[in-house]
Amino acid sequence: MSRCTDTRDLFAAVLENEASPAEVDQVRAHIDGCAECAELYEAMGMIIGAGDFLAEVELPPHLGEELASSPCRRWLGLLYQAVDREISQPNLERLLTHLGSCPSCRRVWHDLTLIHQVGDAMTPPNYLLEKCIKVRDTVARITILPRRTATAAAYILALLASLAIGNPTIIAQDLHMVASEKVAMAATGVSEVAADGRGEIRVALWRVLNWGEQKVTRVRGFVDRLRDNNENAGDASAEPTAETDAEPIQQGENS
Amino acid sequence: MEMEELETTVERCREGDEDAWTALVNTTLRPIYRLCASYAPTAAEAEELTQEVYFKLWENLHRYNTGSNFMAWAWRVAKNLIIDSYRRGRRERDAAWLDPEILDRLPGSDNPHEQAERRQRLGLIGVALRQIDDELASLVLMRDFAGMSYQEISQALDLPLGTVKSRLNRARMELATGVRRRLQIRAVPPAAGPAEGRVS
Repeated sequence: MSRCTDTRDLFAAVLENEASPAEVDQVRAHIDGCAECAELYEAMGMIIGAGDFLAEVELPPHLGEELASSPCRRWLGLLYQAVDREISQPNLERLLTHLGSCPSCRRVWHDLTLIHQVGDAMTPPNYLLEKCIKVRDTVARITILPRRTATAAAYILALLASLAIGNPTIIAQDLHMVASEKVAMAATGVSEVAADGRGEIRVALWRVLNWGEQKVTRVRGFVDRLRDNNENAGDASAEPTAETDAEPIQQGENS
Repeated sequence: MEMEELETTVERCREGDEDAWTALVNTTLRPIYRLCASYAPTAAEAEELTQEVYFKLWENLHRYNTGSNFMAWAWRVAKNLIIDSYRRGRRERDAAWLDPEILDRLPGSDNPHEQAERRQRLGLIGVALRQIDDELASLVLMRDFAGMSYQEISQALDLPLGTVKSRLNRARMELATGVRRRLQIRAVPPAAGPAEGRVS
């Protein structure tokens, strides 16, 4: 009996009817006595036969046309090199010969070179250069404003900070640490504005002013209360008997 | 201007040299304008966008890392502005190169037949560009319209050079296929039945 490996090499030829009668006999004799090779021969037969039904399948009508009109892929590398103007002279000559006979590659070539032509034609108008140089002046004008505003904000902040931290209410309420933190936060905002420019200015200033407004309201309230107390105290010291005596009477009368 | 010379010019700009800014704009205006014109819908908007790019470049010059490619950095700045501009306007990607003002500048545009054919081809290219993936379309715009080098694209997009080349080839292939499809659709004769709804 012939060796398994030698016989297996003949399987494909026998199954595709390309083997000589002697080879066919050799394979048949071998698989009769070798179960493993017989199994393999049967499996190969099934695989090769599986493709037979595809012969009856018809191609979609557009496929042939699409394949015919698609640019030849092997030429695309050279075509792109030519578009990029990186092609060597001998390759350019080969490509030009091909383009002469291949309409689909010629179309791709025309489209890509058209894109390049348009790109090349997009030259900036003469006045644009002057305008673009002048943007520097615009930037300079704009950046002065935030710096000035930021400086003004910093002064307001300093004033508010002294009012907030130094005023007796804050000290009495032991809130000066919180106030210091807020001042630091707002100051950071102001410095960011100075560094980054216009975009953040409104937000940061709004934060500072909003915070300042709250503090001023609180200080004003404190001052009002202080004034009331002083007035009350002054009235009390000026007419102690009349005031203290009169009130219970009035209250008594009212009630 | 060579890259090294450009870097020196940028450095001089940062030091406040006014002539250096003029030289910088002079050198970079054409590629930046071409890039803006690739994305802006009209020639007028391309000009506005170009000015905005320079405004932004001047404002952020201190943030540029000396030694990295200036044009790649400028492209990133421009791209952010372009994206912002689309977000603001909620417009579809369009292109100034379809603007007659630009088309009239093409060589040999005196022939009306040739002009009409070109306009039609560019219209098809425009449609095909809109239909391919944004990143691939950007590569075509950067390389073929704006004339950026592979190196600049690689640095601007932070992609290896080989990837840029292979993606660009894919982009061009998809673009060519898209144009061909549009041409085939146009070539189909109108059906005997109702023609409404047919893509033209």
